Amino acid sequence: MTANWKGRTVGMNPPEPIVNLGTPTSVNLDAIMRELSAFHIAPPDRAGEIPLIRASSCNLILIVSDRNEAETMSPVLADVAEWHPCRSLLAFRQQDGITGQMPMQAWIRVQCRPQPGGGPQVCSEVITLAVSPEAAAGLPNTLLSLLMPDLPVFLYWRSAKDAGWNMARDLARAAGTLIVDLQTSLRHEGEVRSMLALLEHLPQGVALRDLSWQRLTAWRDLIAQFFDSRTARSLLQDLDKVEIRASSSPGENIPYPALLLAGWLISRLGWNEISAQRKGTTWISRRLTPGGEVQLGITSAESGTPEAGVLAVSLKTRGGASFSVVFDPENECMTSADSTGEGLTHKVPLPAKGEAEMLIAELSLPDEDAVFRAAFSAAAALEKSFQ
Amino acid sequence: MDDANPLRHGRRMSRSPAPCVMVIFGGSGDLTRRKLVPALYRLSQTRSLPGGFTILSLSRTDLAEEKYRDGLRQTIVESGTTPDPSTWDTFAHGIHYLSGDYRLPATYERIKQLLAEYDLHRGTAGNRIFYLAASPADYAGIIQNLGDTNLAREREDAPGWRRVVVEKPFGRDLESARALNQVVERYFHEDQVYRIDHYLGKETVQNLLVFRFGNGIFEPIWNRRYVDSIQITAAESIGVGTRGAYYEDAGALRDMIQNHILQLLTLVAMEPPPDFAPNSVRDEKVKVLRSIPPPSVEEVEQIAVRGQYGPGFIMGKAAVAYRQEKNVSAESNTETFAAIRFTIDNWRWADVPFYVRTGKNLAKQATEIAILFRRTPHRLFRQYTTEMVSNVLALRIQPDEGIALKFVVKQPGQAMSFQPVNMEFQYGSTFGMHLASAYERLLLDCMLGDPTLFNRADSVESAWALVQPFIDAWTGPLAAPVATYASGSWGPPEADELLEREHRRWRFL
Repeated sequence: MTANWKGRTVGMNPPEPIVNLGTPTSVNLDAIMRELSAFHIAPPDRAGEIPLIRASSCNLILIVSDRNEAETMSPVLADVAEWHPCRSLLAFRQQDGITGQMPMQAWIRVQCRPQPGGGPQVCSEVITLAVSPEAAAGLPNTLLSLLMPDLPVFLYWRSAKDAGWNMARDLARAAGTLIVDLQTSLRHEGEVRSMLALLEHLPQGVALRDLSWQRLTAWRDLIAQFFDSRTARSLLQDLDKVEIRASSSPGENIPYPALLLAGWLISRLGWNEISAQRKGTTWISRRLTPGGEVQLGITSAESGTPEAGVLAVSLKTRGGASFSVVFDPENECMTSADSTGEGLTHKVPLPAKGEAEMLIAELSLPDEDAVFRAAFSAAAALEKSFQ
Repeated sequence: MDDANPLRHGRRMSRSPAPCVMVIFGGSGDLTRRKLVPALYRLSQTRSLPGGFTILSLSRTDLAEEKYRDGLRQTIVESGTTPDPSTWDTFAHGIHYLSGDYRLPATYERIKQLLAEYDLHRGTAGNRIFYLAASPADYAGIIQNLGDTNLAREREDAPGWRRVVVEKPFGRDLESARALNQVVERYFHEDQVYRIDHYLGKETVQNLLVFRFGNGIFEPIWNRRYVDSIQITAAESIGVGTRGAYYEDAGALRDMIQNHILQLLTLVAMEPPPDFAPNSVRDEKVKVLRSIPPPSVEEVEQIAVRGQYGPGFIMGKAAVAYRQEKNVSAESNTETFAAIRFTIDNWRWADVPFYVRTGKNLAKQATEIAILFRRTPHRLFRQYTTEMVSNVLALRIQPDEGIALKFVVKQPGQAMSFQPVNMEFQYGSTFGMHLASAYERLLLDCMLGDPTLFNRADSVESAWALVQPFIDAWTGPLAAPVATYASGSWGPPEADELLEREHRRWRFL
């Protein structure tokens, strides 16, 4: 079987492992490297074939739950490699089809991208590892030995679950950057609380990233924009009511994106807790601000698009000024409205971002995002206050 | 709480200014329609402009506001972007058009009234940018009128800031540039003035500073000890097109060398600034210009070549001669090509020639800076090869933005054979992202009050002082007729001879 990449047949991705060795807990690394080198030394011998360049700007480790999920990630990785040529290591546990003789199996795929205007194709590699449950303990070391040396390492723990925490933590310690997507991975009752608690205690030196934070960037931009002028900035101290409406979460979870946005406001504006209570699908926290008190409310709303995340934010001051940002899922745009002028409204597009696009953005950031980390800690504390 | 917006912290946030009004003189012109408004629209789409951002376009043309907006929308469509109806509507709501004569004080009184209305209704709070995109002949009059009607000065008792953006050309020689600077300085402080050179907004040009001063390995060899020469090329494969009237009066020297090319040269040659503050960077750039000895009029012939394109073929298509272009005199002596050898009299660059060339209707479009390194001091492999090539570091500005390093390797095999190879970095391959246009970057910088990428008065005058001898030599009564080169070539043969005299060659691009 061959892998198609932008309509070109460029590599190989056999259904059967092309490199699998009978040792109990590890694949043969030399064999994998030989296989990759062979591809680059001897590109497919076809008339008119464009020469290849092997390129890597980072390593990306992906932990997924099973083969199906691994297959869905294939096009995502291809898109990521288009922007960040990288070595991707994709690992999952597999119950069936792996015998005791081959507890780890590896597939290698090389994906190449033609450059606009001709020139050599830029190629990067995906190594997929299927691991039997008995060999799972050996997976972290195997993954680490397959990394391209001297390049940044990102770990994307796609289905963040309590059960996989130990392995994710160990890999994150080696990788330096752990990427999660809590908005989509927290699906069951109580998961928000337990996952926030775990991620709050990541090993020292590990940068945490959350794709949910990226989805909030447009919201943060438009909210911040209300207060860019010096005159409007003084109104920040005068805020007395903030409401965040978000699409309902599975189970009885507080909507995580709204929680994170609230954490951002709390951490940036220095709001201290006075009281917290839950009323059905609304969570209300009273906070002490430099200018008085503010009521911060989060409402879980039924919406046609459960993955929509935050739907609306409104901010009101004691003096009667109000600011709002509302998402229109149908037109994929956001409208911000400011009552201080002539009731100005401003519309900007907010097209849905795919997973690849968000990963690409994360891989472009070199290190810890301190504002996110503070917002995340404040969100965790806020969630705890509702217990 | 300090003065900064606490919600603006964090690296993912868009850079976004406080609401302001951009008053554009020359609102119906090509620059406004093709560059400024599309750039502003893209900024609004990326959440870099606040809802209250307002454009007041001025022009002598009598136009209904709705028709003006429709025309702008159409231009954006033609540029390849189809504005989304709902987001365009809120953006267009902030676009206003005023027909008026720039010479009349009454026009400025009307501007004042409109600005006061925007402050009230759109929250622009006294923040204004006056963008001079009109004919350069009108610049001084507009500035004077802005000053006389109290639109220029920032006052402690009135809120907001005032800035003026002056498009190139800033003057047409040293004398006129000085005169314009004097008018500007009469009404604006230097920190309110943004003399724009869109080349400096290009991503790859900004990367020059990062490449030089963000990497430890290049700066130690960035000097006369290791560098043999530097070549800067800005080649265009198109002619003057519809700009014949403008170009007749400008020529390659004024159009490209006085601004774009000298700016590139300063970025390559400048010393590391102590910090990245606007004036620290600009101070170092001016020092470079002042270190280049201007030639006497007699010396010009020794170090410079000019040419004008004749008929020929470019990429297989027939091209007419410059003198046959629209709005060009049949006896024109204007240069469409210029090549100059500069030297910089300082410790770092003594005896290193900087060869620059620019032209229209050349073989291909290519802008690059090439650092050509000295050959190895000892010819270790002389029995195998007669000549080892120099290492070259090529910084490509456009197209295919990127960096290439040429070095020599041994070809595999029993024989000792050598081959030069390129190690390439390409922006497109590595980042693959849409690069913001130079105008997007510069307009936003101006709104945010960052003049780093704009030219200061002393820089503009130093550049004019440097090219003035060439202007005098090429336009004086004793000026020799301009040499002709075939369209589609790399310029007149004299340009090759300029380097051959020193046993060098232009890079083949």
